Amino acid sequence: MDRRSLLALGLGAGAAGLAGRLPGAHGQPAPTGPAASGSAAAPRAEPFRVLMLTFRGDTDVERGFRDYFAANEIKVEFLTRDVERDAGRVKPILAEVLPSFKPDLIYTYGTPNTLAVAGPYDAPPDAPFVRDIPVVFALVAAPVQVKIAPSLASSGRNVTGAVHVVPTDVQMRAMQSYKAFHKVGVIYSPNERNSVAIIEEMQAFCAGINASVIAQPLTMVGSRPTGDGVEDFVRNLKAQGADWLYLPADTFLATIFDRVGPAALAAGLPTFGATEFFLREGLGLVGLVSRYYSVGQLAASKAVEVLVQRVPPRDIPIETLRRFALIINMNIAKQLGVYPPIAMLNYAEVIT
Amino acid sequence: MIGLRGGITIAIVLILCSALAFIGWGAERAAHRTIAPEILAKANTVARSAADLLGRAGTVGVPFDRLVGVSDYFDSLRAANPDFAQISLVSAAGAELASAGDATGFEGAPQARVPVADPSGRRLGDVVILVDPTAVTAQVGAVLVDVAFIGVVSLLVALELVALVVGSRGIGALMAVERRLKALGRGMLARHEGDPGAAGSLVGPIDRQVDALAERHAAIRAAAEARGDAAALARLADLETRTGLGRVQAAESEAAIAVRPALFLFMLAEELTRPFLPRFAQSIAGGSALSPDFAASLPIVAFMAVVALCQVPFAGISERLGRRPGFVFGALLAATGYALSAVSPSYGLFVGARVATAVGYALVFVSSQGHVVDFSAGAARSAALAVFVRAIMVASLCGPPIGGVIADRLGAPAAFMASAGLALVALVVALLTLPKTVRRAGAAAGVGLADLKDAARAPGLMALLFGCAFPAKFLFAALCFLLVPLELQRLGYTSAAIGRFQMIYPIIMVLAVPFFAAMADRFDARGGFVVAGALVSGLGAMAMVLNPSIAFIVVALVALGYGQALSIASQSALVADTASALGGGRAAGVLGLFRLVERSGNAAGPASAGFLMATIGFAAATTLIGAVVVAGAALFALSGLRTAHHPRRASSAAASEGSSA
Repeated sequence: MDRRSLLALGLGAGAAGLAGRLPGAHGQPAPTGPAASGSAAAPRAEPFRVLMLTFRGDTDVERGFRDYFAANEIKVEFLTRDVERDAGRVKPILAEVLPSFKPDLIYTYGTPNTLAVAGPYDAPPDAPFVRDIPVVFALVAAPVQVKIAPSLASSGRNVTGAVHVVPTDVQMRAMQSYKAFHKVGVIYSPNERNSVAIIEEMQAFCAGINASVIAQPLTMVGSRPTGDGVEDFVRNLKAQGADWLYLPADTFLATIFDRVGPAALAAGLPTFGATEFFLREGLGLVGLVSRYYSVGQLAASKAVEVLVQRVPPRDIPIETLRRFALIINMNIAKQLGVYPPIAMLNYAEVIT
Repeated sequence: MIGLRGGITIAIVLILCSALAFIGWGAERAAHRTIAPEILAKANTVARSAADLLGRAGTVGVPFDRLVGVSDYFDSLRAANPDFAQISLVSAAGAELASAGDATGFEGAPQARVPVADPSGRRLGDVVILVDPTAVTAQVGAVLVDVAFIGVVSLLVALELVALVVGSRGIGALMAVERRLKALGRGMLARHEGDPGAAGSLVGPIDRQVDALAERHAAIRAAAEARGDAAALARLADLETRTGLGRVQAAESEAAIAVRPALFLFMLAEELTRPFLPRFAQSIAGGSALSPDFAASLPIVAFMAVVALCQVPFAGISERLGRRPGFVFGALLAATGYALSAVSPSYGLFVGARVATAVGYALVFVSSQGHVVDFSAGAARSAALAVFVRAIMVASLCGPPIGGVIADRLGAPAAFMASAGLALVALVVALLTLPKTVRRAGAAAGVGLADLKDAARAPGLMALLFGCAFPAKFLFAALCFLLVPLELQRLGYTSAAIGRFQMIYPIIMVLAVPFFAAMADRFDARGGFVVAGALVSGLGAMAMVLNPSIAFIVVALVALGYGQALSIASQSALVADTASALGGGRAAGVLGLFRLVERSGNAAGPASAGFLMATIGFAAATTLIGAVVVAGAALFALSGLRTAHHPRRASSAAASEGSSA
């Protein structure tokens, strides 16, 4: 497969080119500069105030978000608070900050923070959620499934944002281009609706190319998944003839990447991940991901629409990126002896 | 012995062919000098980029002997660069590690070789690209094919001009002899005007005798006047009245065919547009709500419909205006239409421009035909009409390939501008060659609606018109003007190539019509020839259902050419028989109705084809239209035409047939 056909799949290093401004060709809203703001709303002398609620400290997402404003010369005063991986801290932070800072917009990282701020769309009207300040989220994988919005087209309320998931079929094709397969193994949390949906999409794709999916659910204790025996699952998948192990954007699975990755490496099973985190921290071989930086920029473009163009969040669709980054961990490739096809090096980001 | 005309023809063929051969040879050499180094430079660039990528693989940690997908990568490079015969990766030791393509037969071909180095700069191997020398030839070949077709077409145009000069001189000589002999046969002793040309030695003595008689007549009259001999003067006057002695007779036929060069140029202008018109219409309609097939067919349908509808009313108009002003005004209108088509910013305006062109086209056609009829009579009229039709056929042969090449190289607007220019040149030629308005007192009135109605009652005529004449033009216009250009365009053919396919039909017509006309006379089976022709062309189109491929498109075009050639002369003869059987003023009505029905077929064909192509696709549409023709032929065969009283020879009717308009 050459570069052109890969680009046609939506692959490629296009996301890396998103320095500051988001070109319209990516399907995202056109960038808004001061000139545009002048026509859409009265010029504003004071900076906008944006409260940023991070989940695990500053990441590339937040850097992309802030840089977008800087690149478009929009003055913003940011106040960043980190919940230290505990969404329970959102409420006290809001109680402390909202009266004094008076933000024009709240940025939230991930599903737990977003739900803690805005709540599900079908929450009772008297539930204590923010309803009068626009909320823009980033890095929520499945906003519809977790009831942040009834549909991607519109949240119907004061919420919009950027999704970071790459379509499953595009990921499967990238995997196929790296190394053709007949069987692909996948480990997932059976209680996560998003993961179940992804496995159905994998099965549909594989049926089309005469391949099969070996789906391995994690062990459940009550209604919660555990990592018990996950190393055995990996070895079993290899024994059943899996050519690849696919790791979906599964919330619980992400917490045991440090067990799955080494087990797959030990078993000689190449891994394909749906998140950048797995490639960087979890000993994954290859993955097709939305760049965190670009996701942050996409979220910022929506924040600009809200702040500068005064578009209500309900009128701004929730979107994902159209171009993705292929990341190859060459250290893992060397250990497995599974090298990428030469043409992939034209556009892949290689971790060495 | 080679005559004057043969000599000039051979000379032109020799000059043109050697000029073309020289140009072709020069082009080939120039191309090899310029294109070959270009390809080698490109090979070097590609090899460097491939070597960089392979080097990068080493930098990120892929061992040189464990590279994956190199052959696939080389395949993709070759797919993007068809002029590379082989791309390979060889190790420093000379072993081939990966390759794409086949080097067999390319030993000694130029090659690009770029080393692959590891991060420390050590040479690991080489990327080698072998250039395919035949690719240059293929690229040049494509240009030369265009040049060759232009050459063939210029040859035809040149021969047409030769025919004009030599042919009219030859015809002029024969006509000069004929006129004098006929006049003498009738006892007429008038002096004949005009240059007898090559017949000077033949007619000179006759003219001298007639002149001597006239002089003697004048001398005797002068003597009688001097004597005051009234009886002798009366006898001399009577003699002058009976024999035309001393009068001058004007020559007519040379004037009749004077319209030919102007008409040829004008028709060429319209024929230029054939290969690219559907594509251009689609492109200009892009973004509108119209379906592409409908967008392609509408301008053609509008054009044909306007030409069909204007035919009858314009006969009267051109008569009132005069033929020369009619031609000039029509050509001006058409030229304006072409120019507007070239610059038209919107689809609506483009269709409007085509309608303007159609009005001008109809006026020019009717005026030219009227001019020929005005200035000829009897056998001379058939001959003049044959010359007229030949000019149109040659234009339809030469126009499409030239127009296609212009559209490919310079764009469709440039081709439209070329048409506008040609129409203006035709206008100037008409001004120079056509006589100033001659208002012919008591000229036959135009054909009116009442005449058409009357003609429709002629026995067996409707079966012939609607069973054969209409379907024949219906299939012809649908296939040649819309279906084939659109399908070839879909298959990726250029406008120039489409123009070459559009030559198939007129070539066969030019060659085969006289042959089949003579055959029909010999076997006295005109009805049979009409039916056979319809079946051949209809079945040829229906064959498309077997396999809608380029081969079957050619089959359909060839079958169309032969089918129409089989039937067209016999069909005209049958119509003429019906007309003369009716006699008197009704004959004109029959012929008028025939032309009207034929031209309606020209308009209905592309309209139906556009609709059918959009709904059921090319193959099914072609097949269905072919089936309509077969069904029409069956209808005509079953109805059985009543035998006419004065069987007209198909071969003489052939003279006035074959026009595509």
